Amino acid sequence: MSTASTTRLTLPLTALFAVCFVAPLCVLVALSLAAGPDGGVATIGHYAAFVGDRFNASILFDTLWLGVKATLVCLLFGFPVAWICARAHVRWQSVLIFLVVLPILTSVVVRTFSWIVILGRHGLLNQIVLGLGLADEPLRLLYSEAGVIIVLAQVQMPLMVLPILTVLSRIDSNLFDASQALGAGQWRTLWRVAVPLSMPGIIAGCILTYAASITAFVTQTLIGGARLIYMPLFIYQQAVGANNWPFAAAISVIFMVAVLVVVAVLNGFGRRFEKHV
Amino acid sequence: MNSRNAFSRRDFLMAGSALGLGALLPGLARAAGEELVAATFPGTWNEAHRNILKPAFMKGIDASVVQSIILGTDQISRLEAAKGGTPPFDVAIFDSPQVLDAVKQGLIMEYPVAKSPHYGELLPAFQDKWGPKISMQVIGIAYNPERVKTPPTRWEDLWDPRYKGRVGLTALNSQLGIAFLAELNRIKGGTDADFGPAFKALRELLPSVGAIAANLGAYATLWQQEQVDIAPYNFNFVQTLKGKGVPVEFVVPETGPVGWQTSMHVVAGSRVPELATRYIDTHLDAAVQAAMMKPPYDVIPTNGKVALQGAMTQTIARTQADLEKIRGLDWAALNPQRSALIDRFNREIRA
Amino acid sequence: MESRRGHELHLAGITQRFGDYVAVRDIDLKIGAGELVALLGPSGCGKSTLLRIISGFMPQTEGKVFFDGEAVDHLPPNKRGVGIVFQNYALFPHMTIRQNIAYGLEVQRVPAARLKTRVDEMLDLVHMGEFAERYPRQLSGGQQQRIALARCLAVDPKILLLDEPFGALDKNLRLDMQIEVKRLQREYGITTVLVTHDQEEALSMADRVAVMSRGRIEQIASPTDIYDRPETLFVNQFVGSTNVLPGIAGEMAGAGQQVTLACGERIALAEGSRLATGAQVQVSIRPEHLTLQTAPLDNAITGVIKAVMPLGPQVLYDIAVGDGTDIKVSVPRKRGDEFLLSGTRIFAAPVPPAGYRAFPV
Ligand SMILES: Nc1ncnc2c1ncn2[C@@H]1O[C@H](COP(=O)(O)OP(=O)(O)O)[C@@H](O)[C@H]1O
Ligand SMILES: [Mg+2]
Repeated sequence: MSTASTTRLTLPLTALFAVCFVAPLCVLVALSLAAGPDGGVATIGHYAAFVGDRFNASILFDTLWLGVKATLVCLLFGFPVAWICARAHVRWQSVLIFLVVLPILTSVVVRTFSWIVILGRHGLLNQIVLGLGLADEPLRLLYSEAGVIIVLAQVQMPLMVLPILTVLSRIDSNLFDASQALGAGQWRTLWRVAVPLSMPGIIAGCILTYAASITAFVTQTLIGGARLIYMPLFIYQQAVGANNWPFAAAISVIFMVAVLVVVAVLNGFGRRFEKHV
Repeated sequence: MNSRNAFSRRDFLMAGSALGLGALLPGLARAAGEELVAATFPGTWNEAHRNILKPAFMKGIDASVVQSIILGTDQISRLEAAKGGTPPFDVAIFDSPQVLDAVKQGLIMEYPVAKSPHYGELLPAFQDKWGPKISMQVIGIAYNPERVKTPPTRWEDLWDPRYKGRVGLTALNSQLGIAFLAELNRIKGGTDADFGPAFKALRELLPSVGAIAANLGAYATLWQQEQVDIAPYNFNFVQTLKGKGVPVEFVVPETGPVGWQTSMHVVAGSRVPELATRYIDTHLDAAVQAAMMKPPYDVIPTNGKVALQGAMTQTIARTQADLEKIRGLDWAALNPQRSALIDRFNREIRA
Repeated sequence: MESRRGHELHLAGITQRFGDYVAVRDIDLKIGAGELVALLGPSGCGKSTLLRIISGFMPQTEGKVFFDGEAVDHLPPNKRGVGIVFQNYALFPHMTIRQNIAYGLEVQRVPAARLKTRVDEMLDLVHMGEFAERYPRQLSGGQQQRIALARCLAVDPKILLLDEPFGALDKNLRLDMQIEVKRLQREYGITTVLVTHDQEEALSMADRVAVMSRGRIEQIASPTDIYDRPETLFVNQFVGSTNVLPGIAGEMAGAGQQVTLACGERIALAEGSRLATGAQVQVSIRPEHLTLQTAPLDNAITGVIKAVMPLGPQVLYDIAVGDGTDIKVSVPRKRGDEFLLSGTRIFAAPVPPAGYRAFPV
């Protein structure tokens, strides 16, 4: 294709990208530099205020850290699920993939509310725990970080499983057989062959789960409550509760940059594996 | 699920207003002819407006009405975003604190009293030149009668060690949260300039607190899941939960009822101000208010001709005269502190 | 390199079913230590299935697998000590050549120093020393194949299984690699099963060839016997090319049995045929086992030359015989020879020791 026609083809896309992404971003940055709600002189005061306060920084850190924990839990369960799907007989494969994708078909709100029913003081899990006599008092699962991590991991599971599954099912199954024929057991084969070769999928899955987990306002607030403050709730409170839009914009920008850094690191890590596949 | 609705609209608003689309889109959506867009709150408010207000309003006129569920703070943001263009809705519904913001920003117009036949029937306390009060919200103590055997009588009962781990609270982004904090401050001897006493009491309460909901939607879920047994709550929300079979009762503490008012306003720049006025006036009609007073709505009336009935007479007010005596809050003093209060609250409660 | 004793492989009554479909049917096969046996057959006849059973990736429906007289059916693939070279080589793409070869040794926890010498030794063996630090995708097909072989041999497997190992190579390279693999196999004395659908490959490399059809072994014999003394019409047709003429078995006449062909000729079969008199038979004779002459010949089929095709060292004649069927005759081309012309009436007869072979229908 000639460069001229390529340009003509990509032009609408570029325009769409500019209108839908770059423009709002510019407005966001501009807003974050406004002195007061009604504009005024540009200032980096909001950024300084955020950075200068350890409380704010700890919210950012906790949010990023929450993402790491949720992503790791998701990976821990997601990889085996993807592995089982990929190695399953064709007949079962479609059933398994359907089960994996099922959560996407229901709203995240519905899924989160179901978890409230499961994790609540009188919820399913506590009834089992009490019924088996494992504890005298109901466990505090709801409104705890552990609860948030569990629910995030489940709710975002398809985002982890699907990219891994895609990569795994493209791997030549002879490689697994070759590994076994050379004496390696299932675990070594998994660790030395399947995991490195599915790294691009793992990285993609991690980026998706991570980004989804740290911005999961609904899950974070419904399962975590107000005592566990993460960035989305923080931004929401500043914007809507306190009507402090410039500060909300500033912390949005900071949050975005922090997330981009994490994603870039993950991406760079993934690039190292890409060339082999 | 209301919180979710509010959130997605918020996302959209942020993107839209950033592009100046906020002003553009409603204009596009507005069909030719007489169509009224009225804001309503999520939950029972929305149901009452759909089932009672809308049919009453439509009687005898050739117009259509769209009722759009938006939280008060979101209405302010959307009107601000659309300033200078056609507003996204014609009738706003606010709680007391937002009225001040809306007036300050010039988002609403003065209510055309002359064109509102039922306005004069309102109790004096509920008349307001920026728009009539259509109801009241009253806070008190909600408790689960199955687990709290002796009904609480005072706010201090929340601190009772018997309820350790079972007390609920809500964050300050709702009126409920702010109102509770302000009332607590008052009882503990604080002033609007000094919230120290309230926060000191809060700190002492925290060990008893089982959960702090991030928003009112989550707060209702706490009760439905019986995650908390005793907490400050709105009279109306308690009635809604009771209607759904949730074991919950409402008492007004002996320090008396505290509350704020809910009002309706004609949005500045509305293309159909007459229709908007008529819509609001319909809400003032004694027959409409009497219908909304019945369960499952339990909307507290403001029209002096409506005789009080039902649950509200057992807890809040026996007569119209009692309604006027419900203590309000000084929102003019509270509003500017909101940001600071939220910030301080966050730091106090953070796990 | 130490010389080692190969291991014996014995398949006893192996049957493999996939639902109602029988992919491998009652296979009995004994392969001696250091022997190279080729499984030859058309695609889908069950060759790979048999390899998967030997290697332990697929538990057979019936029968037993023995290595050196010991049943190995309970052993998973990683405990059987079987080396496999796959058609697509299956080198680990994320590992260097050195890492690929070291993989199996690491599994065995070979100490680092010994591991390195061993890998170098294997690299030398396949003449790939200078490629040690490259990745598989940087090598050509033939080079990848050598590495696959080296990786396999590095762990000293009891049995070497090669599944269509040369299928992905072009013709010239294929011949080189066949010689190379044969050399390594001899040097190592490793018992080897080679799966192929290429008869030349099987005949040139194997000590014995097992011709398979529809899950069965039709014949297992030395390449010469497979070619010259096929026991079934299938083997005869699949290995090399042959003329097939229908006929009816007659009386014994001296050493060979008489057959009356559908084209009207009466011929005598090679020695050793014992077919029921009056039975329908297919008579088979290879084109290069026939000679042509214009003068009458003993035990000949008569016909008329339809076409002459000089094919380099051979001349192929297409000859119409009595009932409208054709036979082909391949004659070595000698210097100064004139071709016979189309339309010439000729006599075609087997050149001893070859003779007509007949198979019951
Ligand atoms: N796992 C399986 N499930 C069902 N049928 C199979 C399976 N593996 C092989 N087959 C069938 O068994 C037959 C023999 O296959 P295979 O051994 O791969 O033949 P080839 O001689 O070409 O290597 C084929 O018809 C194939 O479709
Ligand atoms: Mg095969």
